[in-house]
Amino acid sequence: MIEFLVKKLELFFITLFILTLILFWAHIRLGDVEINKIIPEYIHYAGNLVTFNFGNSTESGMPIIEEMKLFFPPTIELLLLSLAVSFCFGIFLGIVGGLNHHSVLDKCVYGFCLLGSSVPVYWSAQIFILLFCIYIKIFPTTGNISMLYDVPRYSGFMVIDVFIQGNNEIIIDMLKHLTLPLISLSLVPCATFARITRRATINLTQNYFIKAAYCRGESRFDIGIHHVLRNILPDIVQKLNIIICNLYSSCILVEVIFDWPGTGLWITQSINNSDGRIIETTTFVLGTSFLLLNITLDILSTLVINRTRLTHG
Amino acid sequence: MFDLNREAREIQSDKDIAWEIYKKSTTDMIGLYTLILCICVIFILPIWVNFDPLTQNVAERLLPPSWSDRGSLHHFLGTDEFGRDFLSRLLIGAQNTTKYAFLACFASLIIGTSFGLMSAMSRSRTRKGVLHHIFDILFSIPSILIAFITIGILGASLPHAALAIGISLLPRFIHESYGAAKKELEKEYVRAEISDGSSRLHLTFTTILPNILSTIISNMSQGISIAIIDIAAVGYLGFGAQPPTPELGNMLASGIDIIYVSTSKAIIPGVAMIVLIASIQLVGHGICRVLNTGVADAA
Amino acid sequence: MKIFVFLPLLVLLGMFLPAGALASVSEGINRDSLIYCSERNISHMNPQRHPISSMASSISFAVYDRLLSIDPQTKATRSAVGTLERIYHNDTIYVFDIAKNISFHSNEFFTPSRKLNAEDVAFSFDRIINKDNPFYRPLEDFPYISHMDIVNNLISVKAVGPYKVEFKLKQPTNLLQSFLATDNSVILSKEYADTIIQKNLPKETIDHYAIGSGPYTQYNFLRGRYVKLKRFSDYHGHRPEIKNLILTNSYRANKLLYKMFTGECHIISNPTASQMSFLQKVPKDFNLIRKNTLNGTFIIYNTKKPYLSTGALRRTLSSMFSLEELNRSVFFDQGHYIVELFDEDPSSFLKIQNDSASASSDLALEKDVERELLKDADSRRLTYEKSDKFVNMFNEDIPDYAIPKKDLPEPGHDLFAHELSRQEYLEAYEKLKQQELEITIFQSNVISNTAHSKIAQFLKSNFEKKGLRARIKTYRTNQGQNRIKKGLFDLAIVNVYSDTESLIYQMISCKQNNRRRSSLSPNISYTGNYTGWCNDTVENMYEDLSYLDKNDPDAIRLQKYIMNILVNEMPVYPLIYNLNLFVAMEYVEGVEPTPYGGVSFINARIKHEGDKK
Repeated sequence: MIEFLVKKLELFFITLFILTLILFWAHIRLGDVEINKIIPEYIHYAGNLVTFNFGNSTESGMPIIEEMKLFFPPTIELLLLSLAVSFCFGIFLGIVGGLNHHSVLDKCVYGFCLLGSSVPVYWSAQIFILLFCIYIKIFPTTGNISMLYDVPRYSGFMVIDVFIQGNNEIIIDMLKHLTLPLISLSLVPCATFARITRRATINLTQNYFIKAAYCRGESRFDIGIHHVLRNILPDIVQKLNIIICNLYSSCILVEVIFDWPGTGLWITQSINNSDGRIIETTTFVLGTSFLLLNITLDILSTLVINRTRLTHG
Repeated sequence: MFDLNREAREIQSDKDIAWEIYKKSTTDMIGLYTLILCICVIFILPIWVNFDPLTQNVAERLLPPSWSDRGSLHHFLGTDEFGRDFLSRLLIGAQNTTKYAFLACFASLIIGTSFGLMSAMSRSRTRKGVLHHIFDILFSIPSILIAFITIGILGASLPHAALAIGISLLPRFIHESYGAAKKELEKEYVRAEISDGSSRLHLTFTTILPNILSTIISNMSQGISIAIIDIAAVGYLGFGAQPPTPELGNMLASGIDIIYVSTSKAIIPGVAMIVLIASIQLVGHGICRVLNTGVADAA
Repeated sequence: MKIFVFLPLLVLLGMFLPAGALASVSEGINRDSLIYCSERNISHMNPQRHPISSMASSISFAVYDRLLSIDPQTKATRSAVGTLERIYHNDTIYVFDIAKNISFHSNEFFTPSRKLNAEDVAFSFDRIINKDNPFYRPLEDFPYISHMDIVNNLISVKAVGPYKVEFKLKQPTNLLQSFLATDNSVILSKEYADTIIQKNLPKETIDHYAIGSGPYTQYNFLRGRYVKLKRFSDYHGHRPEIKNLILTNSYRANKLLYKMFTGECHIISNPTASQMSFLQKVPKDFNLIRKNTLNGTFIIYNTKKPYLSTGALRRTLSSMFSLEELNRSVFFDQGHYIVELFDEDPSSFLKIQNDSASASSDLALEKDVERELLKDADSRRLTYEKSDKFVNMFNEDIPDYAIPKKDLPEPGHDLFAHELSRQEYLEAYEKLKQQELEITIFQSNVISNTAHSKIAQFLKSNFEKKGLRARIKTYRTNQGQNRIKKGLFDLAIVNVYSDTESLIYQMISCKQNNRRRSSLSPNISYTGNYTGWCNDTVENMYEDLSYLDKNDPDAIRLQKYIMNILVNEMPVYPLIYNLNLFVAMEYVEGVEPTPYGGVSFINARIKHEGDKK
């Protein structure tokens, strides 16, 4: 176990090192660095990055850390919420579909999986906006809270801050703003989860112990929760990595479309303004976070698989 | 399972067997027919019919599709704001996107699978680790960001967007093929072959590769769908094919801009993309099912 | 079993129903707040750091005061915070009196201890011109200053008394007052600047956390997204009715109209052409307010290229497409023709000889009219000599390309517009056919540049219909600026944001804009003469025009001459201009346009249902 962890950490540091090299190369291209002083420059640059000493933005001259603190929480909030929603719904739909194989329900779930993974998120978001904001005027189009409300920053996460403030009107407004981005973002991962779960459930139901449980009289619901869920978890955890990476890509697009005050729009605007410092630091932060995520999920999946192996001999 | 009695009467080739198994699922058949239709319409039809996505005719601009009031059969899906025939733009645009998506995915698949297999088969731990994780850095940067950076360096055009998306697909192929190869290596018959003395190269091509074919094909179909969506996404943001070249992404973007005046131009490319991708996924799923028949899935 | 499938779906639906029930179409017409949505990025809170734009003007009027202002009717400058006391020393020293009792805002870093005085005014301009000022920045960071002259001309700005400010110039000019009256020339607080230095904050804080003396004070700024302003209680002027003012921007222009429909914006700036054609159909829900500026699109030709070196070639190229079709396809018929502003007919502007006899007879008639005009002219006007009245600033860094060649036309002859004969047309056409032309467009922060891409596509298709070859190249801002300065383009499509008078002048003037740009500066404007052509005669005529009243017959005649020379030489081809306008919800009233295209909210208010009309 320890050996495994050590290997993973080694991997993490090596990849981090390569990342800093790539970013330093980008830094050279964008700015002016003297050729003979490259090694000390590199150490200085990498040191700054690792200690989160990011410097100031080229365009506005204000420290990048401040802007990062403003822009990262809404993205994380959207990602976590959409992951939670798509996880719950996807697994639920997948189990339901898998257990009722060869029925109309299963075909509906399969159809949903298919459509959900073929719809481009930027198109569906625009259609949702048109449908729900312009024709049926329920939801607002942009932002995460109405411009008219002032919510003091306790944590940076709008969901938490709004509940801390406690004003009912503002809570409802925040929910209204949250719904459409959440739905557009969750569609694709939900379909992916449903597909994996359904496939795994169908494979699982071929097993005798499921048939035995069914014969014993356990309802499908009980079978779903007690037997199926635990056994399909390893399959899901394996794919979690890819799903989250794709989720973040879609998140950038959704944020641009809904003007969500998160990193997506910030990065796109910085690229339009050719703000080199921001692009470099954001790539570094994103790269590091995803590396950490990869490693955590790797460890988690090995743990889960090992435990499954142990229980099933 | 094959009926031994029938073998005496008629010898069915593998292909016929595969076709029988594939035919069993109606949805997969629908997918196959749709995909064949799409490919014919997108790639083969333009060879005979002269589609013209670039000629502007301002007098006939913004015509709606032919099934609504002001539409004309001459422009079947109407015209855009410059008077260019929309059907032509749609087909040539789909052709552009699909061509480059296929290229990117295929190249990425070949490189990725070879890296994955090499790392699974290699005996030394360091080489295994290096080959497996060399492109993990790309895993940790979202595909859109990779596209931004590549296009920032190389300039905005469709081939560059395809290159960026191909790069972002690499780590996924490496990981998947590594995982599948590893699973195969633990099976009894592979161990038997190794103890028989087959070299690693021989082992790879005769045993491992055919058995992980289903994983590769399912990855490929998923990869093509992702490549199409991502290339269109880059095009939507304006960093892909430059106008006037039609491409599904930038057609979506210009359609949304004029949505008040003409809604069909925004909806039609989206629907086309959904149909294309859904059919690719169905066919991929069907082929996997065929290849997996008879293979016990439970570990 | 199935109930567990449908139950969550019901719950989901149930979530939406109360939300729908609580929804009203607008966000609740809140009497105290107004939201203004613009298409331009809010990158700084100091209008000095913006080019001339609607957002800069709106921020300026909301948060700051200016020294002088412009009377909307007469367009003359008049006093605001400063009053011109006197000009002496042969027009090189200007002294202004500063009004008393004007308070500054306060924020988390700074509380003012005194009111506005001459030191503040002096500091605001000193930071632009004086290298020793700790807040000095190179000129390209102040993109609204379009003439180097004014900055090179100012020797010093000093406070010569507690309420007196003196501007010292090198050479006499009549441009100082209009410079001081620009919306972007705001008054900053010197005390705030000193506090920034004392507390060791980054120097950009002065441009980021604004302290001004205007009716609204900043209390929340998210760079590139929005700024929230609150009514300032100690404002010296008329107390505005709207308590909270929010200025935001959208990444994509089509969002602006959506936000109007859902009530997230009460007033938007510059909807796109397709949205405008839609808005025409629902007039009663919206008010349209015209701004005083317009957005003109030009094609500029690189006159140094051999295949574009004569006026005939450029005119032929310009005739390859129809302006009317351009207006229809790209601007949805919402645009206007620039040449109409100068009393020319767009369809016959190019004056190319057709085969039809009637066209040439019209032309002959026009020529006679012109001869009549000229007969009364003062003979002095026919001979324009070279004069060193204007300062030509040529920097050694500028390559040979960019130094315009100066033509001196033969007096009397070239003041008429030549008709391009069929022969010349065909020759030019043959020469153009041999070359593949490159149409260059530039991407910038302003979202409306999808129009440029469409114009380029339109041009390419029309050129190809006529047998010429063309390709389109797009460049990002900084790359584009380099290329345009080095002359690496054939024809380029540029956008000019200006008022009517100087619209064409900026593009063909001889005064060089030799601004060296840092490679990462995002605020680029393409006003300036990049064609490689300029003409002393035209320059002199514009100079004379600036002293004349618009309706003076001499002015009309000078304008006609200028247009004639333009037709003959055609270094730029003026295409379409769009009137800049605001679209406001019908319950918003009292919003006034500012002289430079912004909006002033001082008198704005939200109408109640029960109000008397």
